[in-house]
Amino acid sequence: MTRRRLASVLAAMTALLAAAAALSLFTGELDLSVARAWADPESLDGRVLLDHRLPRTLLGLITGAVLGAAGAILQGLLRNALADPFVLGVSGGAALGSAVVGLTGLAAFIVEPIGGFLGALVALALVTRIASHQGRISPLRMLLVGVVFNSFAGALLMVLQAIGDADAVQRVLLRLMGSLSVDPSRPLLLPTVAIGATLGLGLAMSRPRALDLLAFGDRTARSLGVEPEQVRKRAFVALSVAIGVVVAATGLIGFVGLIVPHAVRTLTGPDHRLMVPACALAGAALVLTADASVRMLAGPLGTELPVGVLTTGLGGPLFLLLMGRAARGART
Amino acid sequence: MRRPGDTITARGLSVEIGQARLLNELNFALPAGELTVILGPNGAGKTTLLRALGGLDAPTSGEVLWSDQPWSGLSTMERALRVAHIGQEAPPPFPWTVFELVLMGRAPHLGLRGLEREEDRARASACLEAVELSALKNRQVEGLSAGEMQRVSWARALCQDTPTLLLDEPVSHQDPRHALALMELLRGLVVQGSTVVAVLHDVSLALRYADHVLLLRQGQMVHSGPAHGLTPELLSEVYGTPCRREGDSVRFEPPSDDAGRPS
Repeated sequence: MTRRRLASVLAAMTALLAAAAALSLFTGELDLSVARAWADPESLDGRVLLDHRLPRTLLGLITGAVLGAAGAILQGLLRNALADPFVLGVSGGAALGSAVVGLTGLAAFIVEPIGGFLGALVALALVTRIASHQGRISPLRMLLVGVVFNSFAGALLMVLQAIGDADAVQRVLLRLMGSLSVDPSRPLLLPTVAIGATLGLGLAMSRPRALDLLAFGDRTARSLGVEPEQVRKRAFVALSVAIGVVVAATGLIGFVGLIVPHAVRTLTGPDHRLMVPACALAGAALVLTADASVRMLAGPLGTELPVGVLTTGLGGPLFLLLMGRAARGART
Repeated sequence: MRRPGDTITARGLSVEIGQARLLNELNFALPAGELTVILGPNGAGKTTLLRALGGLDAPTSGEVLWSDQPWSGLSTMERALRVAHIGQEAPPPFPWTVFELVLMGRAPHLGLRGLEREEDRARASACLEAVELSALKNRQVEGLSAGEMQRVSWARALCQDTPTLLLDEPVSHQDPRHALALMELLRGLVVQGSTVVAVLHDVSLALRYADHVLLLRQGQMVHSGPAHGLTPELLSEVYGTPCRREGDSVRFEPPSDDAGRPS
């Protein structure tokens, strides 16, 4: 990996992300004028831009960056191109954790991300523990445990829905469907997500070469200077923080961590030093574009779909395609 | 000039997995700057020993010293600067090219954030040249034959530029020409001061190239010393089949009914 290639690919991805961010800022019911908003921040244009569009765009950017990079990192750690925070139940665990905290009355937003983090961590620990056999993680078992864990989390969420206070249920569970709209009455949401995501992702992305070396098995990684267990534990905790805070704020936006690394890898090759930051940028661009799309569709449909519906609609078929290809002889 | 290789000493070295004792209280010292070959029948513990010596797997008890330093006291990264390994490894799940894979040998020198410099790329190219893989430089590793893939591992290990090499059946997939060329390459490294320890199955190849031989049977050490100490009687007994020694080459015969059939 040369410095020049790293810089040129990341610059191209950043340009893509800037275009998606602009699309996100200027898509919506109101045809926004930056000039009016700039001249008078208290005007309708100014208020819509600052109170609604900008927070939503920032949340989308952070969410996409976390999910895209987390997918790439999980795939490297687990040596499996089908790994994804949603598929493995990590997002589901985070959703459950944040919902439990949210519904039990400790509803200040500051604690929900902690619930999300714990839920994500428990899910990751379960998936990797149960799926590993004699020190190796079986790709198939891992996916199965993820599926089972997801339905289990779904069932528990239904229980919470049935026994919880109606208002709280409405508030908490609607959010879990995957939406980027930011409630202006929760000013702490965006800063909390930004801090958690930056810390978590920063730590998880800090030694990208380790992911390259892990691809050839634990002993080879060790012979090249990487202690696999240490790398995995550190990354699992860091990813749980990032995924936990994002899911607590946006709910389930599925398959971003599958679609993005798959597309980016064909462009960049497998080198994680380039691929992981490229996935963060591309993930942000994808989520912002998907979110702008659901807002555009809101007119003809008469209602705004959760953005998670769109990403899952794209990601589900891709997952099946990749799974089918793996079954036909390529490796998973 | 290469840094001189280490002396590797085992003291009471045992490895157990579950109920099975794979290595039983081994004590020996492998000389620095020599080519040591580990021999023994299937299941003797050769691979287990090599991994324990290099720290890829931790021993159950006993200790390993590298030039009188406890090996367990070094970090994984410090070890990767002292020793390179070639062994059985998992096929990569992602589409790496041959050159990218060989460049990974530079990781201990660059750290886990670093990018390769021009001299690292030149080094990787030279190592590919040394194992006759330059033509496949930009090919994806997925389509390679077992022999080619094994030489990619060689190139990566050479690219690591360590004074000591631990090799597990490093020529098992090579044709005679490549096998001999690679053994000559090892000989050249040893002449320059490297320590090399290799597990081999080909006893004749071992006798031809080894300075020192470690012979194992069922986790016990049977012989540790110069290669000429391996008598046909000892080899027949350990491998459980009659053999004759003609100069450097050893010819094994099918086991007869009355003697030496493995039980």
